[in-house]
Amino acid sequence: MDISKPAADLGEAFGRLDPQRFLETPQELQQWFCERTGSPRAEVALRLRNDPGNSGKYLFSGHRGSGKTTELRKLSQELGGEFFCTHVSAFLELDVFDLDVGDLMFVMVSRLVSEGRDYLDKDVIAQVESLTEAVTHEVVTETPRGVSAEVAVDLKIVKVGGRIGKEAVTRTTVRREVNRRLGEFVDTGTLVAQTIQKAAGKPVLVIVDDLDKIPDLEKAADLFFKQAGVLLAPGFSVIYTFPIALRYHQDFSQIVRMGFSEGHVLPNFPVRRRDGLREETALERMTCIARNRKVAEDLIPQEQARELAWLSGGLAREFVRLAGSACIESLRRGITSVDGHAVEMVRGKGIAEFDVMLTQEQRRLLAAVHASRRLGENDEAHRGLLHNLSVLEYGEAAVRRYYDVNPLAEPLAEG
Amino acid sequence: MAKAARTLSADQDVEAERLALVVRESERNVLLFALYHSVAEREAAGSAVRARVQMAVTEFALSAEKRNPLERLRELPAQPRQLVFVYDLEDAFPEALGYLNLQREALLQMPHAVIFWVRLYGLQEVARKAPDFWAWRSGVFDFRGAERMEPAMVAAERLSEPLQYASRSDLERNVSLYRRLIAEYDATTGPDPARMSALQQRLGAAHWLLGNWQEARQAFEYAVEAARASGDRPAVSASGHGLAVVLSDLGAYAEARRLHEESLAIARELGDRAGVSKSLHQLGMLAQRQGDYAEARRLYEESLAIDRELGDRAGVSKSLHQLGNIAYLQGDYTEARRLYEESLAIKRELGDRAGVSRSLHQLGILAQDEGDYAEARRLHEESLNMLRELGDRAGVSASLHQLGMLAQRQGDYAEARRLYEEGLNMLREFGDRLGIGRSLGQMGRLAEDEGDLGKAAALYEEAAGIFREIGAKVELAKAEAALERVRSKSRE
Repeated sequence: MDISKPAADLGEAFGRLDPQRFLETPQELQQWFCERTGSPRAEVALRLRNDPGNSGKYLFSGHRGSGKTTELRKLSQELGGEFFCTHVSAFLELDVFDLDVGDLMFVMVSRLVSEGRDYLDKDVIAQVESLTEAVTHEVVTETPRGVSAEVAVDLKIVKVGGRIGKEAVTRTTVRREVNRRLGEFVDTGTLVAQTIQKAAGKPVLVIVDDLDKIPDLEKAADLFFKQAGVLLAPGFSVIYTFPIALRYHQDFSQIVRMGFSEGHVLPNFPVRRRDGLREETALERMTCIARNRKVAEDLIPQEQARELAWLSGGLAREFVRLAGSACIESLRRGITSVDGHAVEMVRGKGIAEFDVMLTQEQRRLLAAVHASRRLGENDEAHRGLLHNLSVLEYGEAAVRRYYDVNPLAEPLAEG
Repeated sequence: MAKAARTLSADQDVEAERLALVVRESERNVLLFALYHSVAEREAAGSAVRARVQMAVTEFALSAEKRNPLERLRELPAQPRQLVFVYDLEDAFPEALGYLNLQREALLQMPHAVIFWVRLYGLQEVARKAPDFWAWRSGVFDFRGAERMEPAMVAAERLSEPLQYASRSDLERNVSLYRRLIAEYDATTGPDPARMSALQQRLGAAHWLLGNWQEARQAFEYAVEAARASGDRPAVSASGHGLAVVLSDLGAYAEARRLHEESLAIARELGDRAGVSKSLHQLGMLAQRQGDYAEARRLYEESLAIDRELGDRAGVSKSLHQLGNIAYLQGDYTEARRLYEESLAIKRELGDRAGVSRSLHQLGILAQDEGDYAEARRLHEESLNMLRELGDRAGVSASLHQLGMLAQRQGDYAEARRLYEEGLNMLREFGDRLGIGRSLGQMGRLAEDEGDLGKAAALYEEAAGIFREIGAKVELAKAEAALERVRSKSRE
């Protein structure tokens, strides 16, 4: 697909409106990225650039589908000339079912060594390998047949780091040993980062994505609140993605006091105003998601694009999905441009999907949220509404934050 | 009012059209959900979607034993892009939800369009408990009709059609279909035990053809139980026959014989000539497996005579094939070839691809024994390709075994080992103990040829242990002779 050319028809438009597709390549980030008001990206970049110790720790969160991964990739691209940026995905490199701070530290150091190897001298590598040998001895000697052959690298830390997320035995063994020598391990990571900084002439920034997807909120709370000291310890900058629901946890303010920067929240497009009505400017701005993908108004007229933006509640991925469905419905009817009927069909289906998901209790809570624009109690039931996206958060900063019901869930609220 | 006809309403048809369009227009992986009430709706909607997409469709069912959909998806080749139907996600809860939610990135690496066919409960669980996976959906398509199809009518309709399959996917769909239909029918007031037995037999047969022998055994056991409860003698005979076939494959020969003899007695009592022929044929196979070739021949010939009399061409081809096997086992290659070729001609005429592949396999063995390795390889490879297309894992493992033997005879030991191991893994997967014993024996022979007598003895011993346990006398004698041979070589 040549993404620089306009989509020729609704079929091509649908191909560009793929909710599973992240913006990955520099070209995609350049052409498809859609700027939104209130993004904390600029603030995080400013803090990173002005951190004299180059060791700040940042918490980055947002709703599912709000565009966190894309925003962090864009940040990484923008900082690429000034920072040695590396990404760790908790999904791909760790087991989010069974995550421990020792695993995370090991994988972060492993990734730094792997990507910064050209900047590391023999002494540093020897020190890393010696520590790795000490903590992974048991794992390496018990490597199952065929595993080592799959890894075309020679450094032990990189080999083992690649197996942490996939092999429970490796994870258990490494975890036990790393946790015993956690301080030493963090110091070694710092040494690696400092060596890279010296040789590359740029400070190190590690972005740990997908930590917000730890399925068990209790486990996520254990990691961020009980192990905050370890997460803060590395002597290099780290951005940790953070479950948005934990921002309402009673211990959140305490970890901010310990040294994390204030939580940075990627806001949804504020398509709803505090009074519950449509925010036309945000709706207009959100349609750029389609326009930047070169889906022009002859395929999705602006009126329909704005309606789809409204139905998405301001969630970028939802907008993409709904717009794709509208293209399909129009194709089915043999028309060449999305019309009101197609958008209405999308609306009906969206409501039906919430109807499947919501319990009676949740429907009652939705009515209360809609009436008050507040989340209400800081309890599991209300956090569940944020989790299933039936309630959305708007506003750029804590003081101006407000809540409302997803437009597709609104007809199901039972007052 | 209930209806039985498997047609879609206008609304359902539009949903099928929408779903097919999403599949056709997307170039990459798409995750879709199709919602249904009854299995009859699912079947009708599935057919409508299949007819509208211009691509290969692979279907598989999850279960309490097979809970990870990603494991099944990873087995698919990356190209060409396919449409994949996943059934019975609910049966794999709660683990399946965890797999989907947390390993969903793996799906992105695949180009396939995946449709999860779910009931309302299944969709609710996915939306509530696998929210990250749910967020990646490209659409939910609702095939729930206003009119419910009566399970009894659907069951009757399905049972009036023969169990047909062209591929492994077909069988997987049938497993899901009958499992679900049994659950729906069982939930009705006063289900007829004879009909329930027939449904369980269908389920057992589909499992058996897939090589899921333990599941097949369980389904046939339920079928026998239901048939006995109904007092329906033909059903007792048919279900007992099915169970005996599975037990025989599992090496439980005594129990298999008892059931075949019971089926034979019932068929005789009812004057069911076709049933008599089938039971005789199976008793012949049991005798053959236990090394009693004279008895096997007698039984096959009696079965063949009945099939000829009834004009049952498929039955004739099977009996001829088995008689060919007896001739081969007794060293009469000319007679064996004549019988195999006669059987092959009938199977080709009937379009029986599974049967054709079996004939090719045996003709390949004959060519191999006669030293015509090029012809043997050609025949085995033709058979193997056909079996892979049909998704017949038992057949594929047998073909791999034969190709391994061919490589061994030609001195390519590494290739032989690779082929044996691939075949052995498949046999272990579906618990074919006779096949496992044979494969181990052959790997013992390979080790012996390579001069590793210790390894050879260990493999022969393991094989002999299995043959002893299942009462496979001929194979046991061969394994014991081989064991004695390597021990004697070791003493030298």
